[in-house]
Amino acid sequence: MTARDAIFAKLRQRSVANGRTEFRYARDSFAEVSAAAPLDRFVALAIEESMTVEHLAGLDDVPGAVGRYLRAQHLPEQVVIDTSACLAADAFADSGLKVSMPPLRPDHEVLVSGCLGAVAESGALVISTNDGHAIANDFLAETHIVILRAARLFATLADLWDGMRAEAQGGFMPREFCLVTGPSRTADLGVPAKLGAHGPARVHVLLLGG
Amino acid sequence: MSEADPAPMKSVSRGKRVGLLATCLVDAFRPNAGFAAVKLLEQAGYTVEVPAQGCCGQPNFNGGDEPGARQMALSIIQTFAQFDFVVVPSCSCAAMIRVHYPELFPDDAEVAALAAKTWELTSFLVDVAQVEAVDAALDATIVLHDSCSGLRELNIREQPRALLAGVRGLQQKEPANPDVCCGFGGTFCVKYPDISARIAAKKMADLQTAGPCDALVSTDLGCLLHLGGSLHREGSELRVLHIAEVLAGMTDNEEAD
Amino acid sequence: MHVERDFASLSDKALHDESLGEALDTVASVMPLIRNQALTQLEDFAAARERAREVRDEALNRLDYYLEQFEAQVLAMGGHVHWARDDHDACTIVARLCEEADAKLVTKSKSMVTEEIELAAALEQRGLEVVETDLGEYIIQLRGEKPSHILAPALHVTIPQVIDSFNTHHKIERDRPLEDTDQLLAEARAVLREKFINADVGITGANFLIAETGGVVVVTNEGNADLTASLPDTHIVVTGIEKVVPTMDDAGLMLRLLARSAIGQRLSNYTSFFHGPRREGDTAGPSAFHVVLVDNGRSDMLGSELQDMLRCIRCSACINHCPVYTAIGGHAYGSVYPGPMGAVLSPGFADLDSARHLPNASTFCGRCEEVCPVAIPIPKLLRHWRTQEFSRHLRPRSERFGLGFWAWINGRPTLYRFVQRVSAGILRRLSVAEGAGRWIRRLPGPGAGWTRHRDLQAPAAKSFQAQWRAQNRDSRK
Repeated sequence: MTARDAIFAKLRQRSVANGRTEFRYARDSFAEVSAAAPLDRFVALAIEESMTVEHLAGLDDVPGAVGRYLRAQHLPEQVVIDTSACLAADAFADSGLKVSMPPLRPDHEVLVSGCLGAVAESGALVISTNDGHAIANDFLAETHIVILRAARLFATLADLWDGMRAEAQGGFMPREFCLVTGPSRTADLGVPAKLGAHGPARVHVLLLGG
Repeated sequence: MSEADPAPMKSVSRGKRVGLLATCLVDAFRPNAGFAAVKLLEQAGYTVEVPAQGCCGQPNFNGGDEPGARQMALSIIQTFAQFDFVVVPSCSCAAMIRVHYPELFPDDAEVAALAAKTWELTSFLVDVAQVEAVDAALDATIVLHDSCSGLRELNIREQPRALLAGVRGLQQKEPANPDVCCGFGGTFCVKYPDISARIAAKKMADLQTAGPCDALVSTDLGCLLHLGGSLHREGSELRVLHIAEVLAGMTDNEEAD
Repeated sequence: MHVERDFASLSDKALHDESLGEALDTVASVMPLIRNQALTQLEDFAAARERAREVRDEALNRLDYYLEQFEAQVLAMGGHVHWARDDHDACTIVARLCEEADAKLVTKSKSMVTEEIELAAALEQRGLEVVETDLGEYIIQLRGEKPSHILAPALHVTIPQVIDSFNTHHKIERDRPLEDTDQLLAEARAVLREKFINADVGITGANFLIAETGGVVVVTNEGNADLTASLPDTHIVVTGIEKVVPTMDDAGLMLRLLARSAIGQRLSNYTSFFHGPRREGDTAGPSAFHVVLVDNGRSDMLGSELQDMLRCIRCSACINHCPVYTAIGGHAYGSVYPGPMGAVLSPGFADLDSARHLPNASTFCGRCEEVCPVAIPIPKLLRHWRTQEFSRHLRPRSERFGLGFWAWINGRPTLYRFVQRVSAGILRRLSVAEGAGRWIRRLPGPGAGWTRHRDLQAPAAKSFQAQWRAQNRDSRK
C-alpha cells in the first residue's frame, strides 16, 4: 500500500461523508469597502504602504517619467526593461538613460516592467509570468518601476479572481502571479520595518490613463 | 424581608425562589460576599435559600477528571433542580453550570433546564431581575477586574459596570487593558506559581493605569484572592472587595466571623 | 516531531531573561492593537470570521475530495505530488528529490512544517548546504537555535546578538564594523542574494493550497519565498494535508483575515500563487515542481474532537494574545509550535506523552478562542487533551490524588464540613492579624505553590454555609 493509499484510506474513513462530488463555489463577498473610487483607493493605499505613484497619459510618457524619477532619487540613470513593459529599447532613445534587457546585473538594479493589474481593496499590484514577464527580477531589483494601466484595476479580490479565470490560458493560471503591496520589508531587525530586505527598497508606479 | 425596605429595588420576578450556589471560595474565605448576595437578591424581591451544597466540579473538569466532575455535577443538579433560578456570585462557577454541564451531559433535558436558569449574580440582577439601581453608598474610587469566564463564556462586561454606576459616591476607573487575564486560572496558579506571578505582576501594573484607587473589585473571588494576595505581598494598601459586598453596601464587615 | 519536556527549567530560564521579557511585553502590547485596527477596516468581521470557519470546515469535511482535485490540477500543469505519512517519510522524499536534482545548495523560505519534520537537519546530514532565507530564520540558523514564534522566529534575539552572529559566521571583508540595523540588512541581503542565485533547489512551505487551480499560496513580507521558488531549477513545496481550500475566492477571504490577524496588515507584502513548473515557451522558472503533502498525525485529528484545530491558518493571533506565552516566550514550550495553537497541535503531531506539559500551561482565559479568525475552541481542545492525560495516568500522582480526593470528599458533606472546619482552624492559627484581615505568608507542602509569590487571606472562622445554618435562615420561610 502506498503512502497515498494509506492516507486516503484514513481520510475517506474520517471525512464527514457528505457525498461531495463537486465544488462549492461561493463568490467572496467580504471585501473591504471604501467610499473612494477604486483608482483613488488604490493610489491612497499604495502610498500608505510606501509605494510612490505618478499619473501619466500614456505609454509614450514612460521613458521621460523614468528618467525624471531616477534623477530625483539620485539613482544612476540606467534601467533594465522587462518584456512586459511593452516598450522597446529605442523608445528610450531621447531619455538619456542607458537601457538593457534582462538579466539584472549588480550595477543595473533598476527594473521597468509591466504588470497584470492591481487590486484597489488591498492596494496591491499584481505581477505575473504572463507576457514573458521575467518575474524573478521583480524580487531582485533594488528599484522596481511598474507600469500599471488604469483599465487593469480590479476593485476587489473577487473581481481579480473573475478576471483571472476569464483570461486563463489553456484553463490554467499563470505559472506564478503575486500580489505586491509595496517594497520588500522586514521586522526581524526591529520596528518600524526596514525596506529593501531582499527585494526592492523602492516601488514606483506609473499609472497610465484614468 | 426587612420591615422597612429602603427604596426596594424594582424587579420583575417578585416572589420567585432562588437557590444560591455560594461557591467553595466564598464559603470558606469570604462569607460576607455570600450574605451580600443574599441581601441583593432579597432586596430584588426573591426568596433565597442556600441548600447544603458541594463544589460545582470545575477543578476536576478543567483538570481532565470527567468522571469526578460528573459525580459532583450530579449532586449539584439534584440539589438545585427545585429552584426557579440558581444564582452564583462567581462567573467561572456559573459558567461551569451554564456552559459546561450540558457538555458533560449532552442531550439531557434536565441538565439543559438547570443550565438555562443558572446565572452569575450581576448578570442575574441586570438581565433577569432587571434591577435598575442598587441601594448602596460607598465613598471610594474603585477599579473593576473583569473575569475571563465572564467576558468570554457568559457575555458579562456591562452588567457589573451598570450596577456599580448606581452606587452612590462610587467612582469607577478603567485600566488600559481590562481584557487581560490575572493569572489565577484555578489550579494553574499553584501548578505554575512563577508564571502565574509574572502574569499577576503585569496585571497589577495594568490596573495602576486606572490611576489612584481605593479598592479592587471583581465578580470572582478566585481572581480576588490571587490578586489580593499578590498586592498584600507587595505591601499595597489597595482593598480587595467582591462586587456583591459593594453593591449590598456591606464593605465594612470584611471579616464576618 | 520532537518536543522538549523540560518545561519547568525552560520557563524558569525565560522568566529570568530580561531582554526576552521586553520583547514579549512589546508583543503583548502592540500586536493586539494593530490587529484590532486592521479588523475594524472590515465592515463585519464577525460575519467574515463565520464564513472563514465555513470555508475551512468545507475543506476538512471532505478533505479527500479537495486534495484529489488539487493533485489533479498540479499534475495537469506538469507538477508532481508526493504523499508523506510522517516526518521521517517526508524527509526521505525531499532528500530523494534533492538527490535527483543533483543538488548541493538548497534555499528555504519559512515553513513551520519543515521545522516540524526537522528537514534542514535531515538534508544537512546528507551533505547538502541548506540556507534559510527568511531573515529571522536565517538569524536563528546561524545561532543554532529553534524558532520562538511561528511568524517572528528570532523574536528572542537582540540586535547586539545578531551583530555578534554575523561577525562570527560571515567571512566578509568589511571596511567598518557592523553597528546598526541598516548595515545588518545590507549584509544579509548581499549574503543571501548569492545563495538565491546559486541554489539548485528551493524549498518553500504553503499558506494555502487551492483545489480549484492547483495553486500553492505563499506569503512573505520580504519576498524571499519568490526568490526561493523561482530562481532554482527545482521548487519543492512542503506542507500539511490540511492546508487546502476549495477556490480562489476562499483563499482571498483567508488571506484577508490572515494578514490582519497576524500583523495588522491588509495583505502580506508579497502574496504569491505558484502553479506548476515552467511552461513551453517560458524562459524562466523551475523545470521541476514538487508538492510534498505531509500527514504526520493530521488525519488522526480529522473526524475526532480535535478536527477543529485543523482549521488553523497559522496567523499567531492566539500566541500574541496569550498571557502565558507573553510571560515565557516560545522556547519554554519546547515545540516549534508554541502558545495556545501549539499546545493543541503538538500532542497530535508528536505524542501526548512527550507533549503532556503543554495543554496544562494555560489559565483557560479564552482570549485565544476570542481572537482566532476561524473560531477554533482552543480551551475546549486543551481540556480534551487534559482529559486524555488524566485517563491515561499521565499526570503527577499528587495531582491525580488531589482531584480524586476533592471529588471524594465533596460526596461526603459531613466529612467535608469537618475537614473544612479543622483546616480553617489550622490556617487561622498560622495567620497573622494585619489591619482588618488575617494573612498567611507561608504554607507548607502543596500550599507552598500559593505562598511562593502571594500571601493567603486566612479562611473565615466559620464558613458561609455554617453561619447560614446557624442562623437557621431557611427554616424561617
